Amino acid sequence: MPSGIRVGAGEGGRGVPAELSRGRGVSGRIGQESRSGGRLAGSSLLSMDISIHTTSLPHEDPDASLAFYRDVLGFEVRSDVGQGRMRWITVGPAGQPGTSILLAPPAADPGITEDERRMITEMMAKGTYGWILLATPDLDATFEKVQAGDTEVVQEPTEQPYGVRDCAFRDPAGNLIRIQQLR
Amino acid sequence: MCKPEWGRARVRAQRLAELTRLRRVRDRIDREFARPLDVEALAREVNMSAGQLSRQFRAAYGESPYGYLMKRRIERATVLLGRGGLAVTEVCSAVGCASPGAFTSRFTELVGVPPGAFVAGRVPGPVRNRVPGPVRNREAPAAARLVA
Repeated sequence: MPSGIRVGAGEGGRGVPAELSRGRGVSGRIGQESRSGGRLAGSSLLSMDISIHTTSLPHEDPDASLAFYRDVLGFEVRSDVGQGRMRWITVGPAGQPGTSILLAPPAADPGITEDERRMITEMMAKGTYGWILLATPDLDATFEKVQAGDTEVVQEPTEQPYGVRDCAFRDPAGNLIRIQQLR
Repeated sequence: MCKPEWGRARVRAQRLAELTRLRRVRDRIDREFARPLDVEALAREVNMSAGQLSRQFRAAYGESPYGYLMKRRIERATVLLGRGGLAVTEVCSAVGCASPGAFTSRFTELVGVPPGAFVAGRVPGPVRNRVPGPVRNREAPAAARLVA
């Protein structure tokens, strides 16, 4: 199902607009470059080409999360590694290969203590841990489709005082999925 | 014989299930605050008594479900009043408050001025970011208990 949902900032990860990446308007060197003998001569801050590539959300039940992002939001599955609860699943909207969500096991970093791990799983359960902002050109149609997928609705499409119209759902792990109308 | 870690795992699972139920209650308040919700109805849906729900909700979120519900209503009321065109009584019922008296006193407490005197733009920022200060502070120990 083509979902028409976009993730993150920018237009599908196409990167920096051409007029910016040409480095217009910046000709001088910054201090570091001067001291390092001009190795970086010609480059400038504005010529960096960085896109927002992957953001991660925790899962609690990898199969349930996978089903939500694939079957309810209509995302494609780009990779799926690991097993059991230790699975890393990359999903994203069809036609936007430059932007992905990594569904990852929570608190898998070995530096996280047992207390922190417990706190993270509790915050996920009570719904105060992970969240993401998606956008779509047709909010009402998207809301209807997601709601029909037996998803927990947090907010029906609403005009917000700060100038956006959005709705909100929970994913199976308790992450808040806010979807905003593209204007 | 039961190993102690099995018992601990069961307690953990029950705790997470309880927090998930509380999340559903909170989400329902977010979704349906403009309808005539009350704590008894919220509690029934998750098979708790009103007292149980209030206690557990406060321990998890730092305020009672009624407090959270009223905060959502007042927040919406500031938006509606700011747009203009509605009388205070109309705004009161539009945000789900059955009692104009409770609406006015809670509004005044959270926003700093009574609803009739509220003018959009004079009060900076959305209610949720700005107002809950004193409420949160007073209830911080309850939230801290969750950590322990």
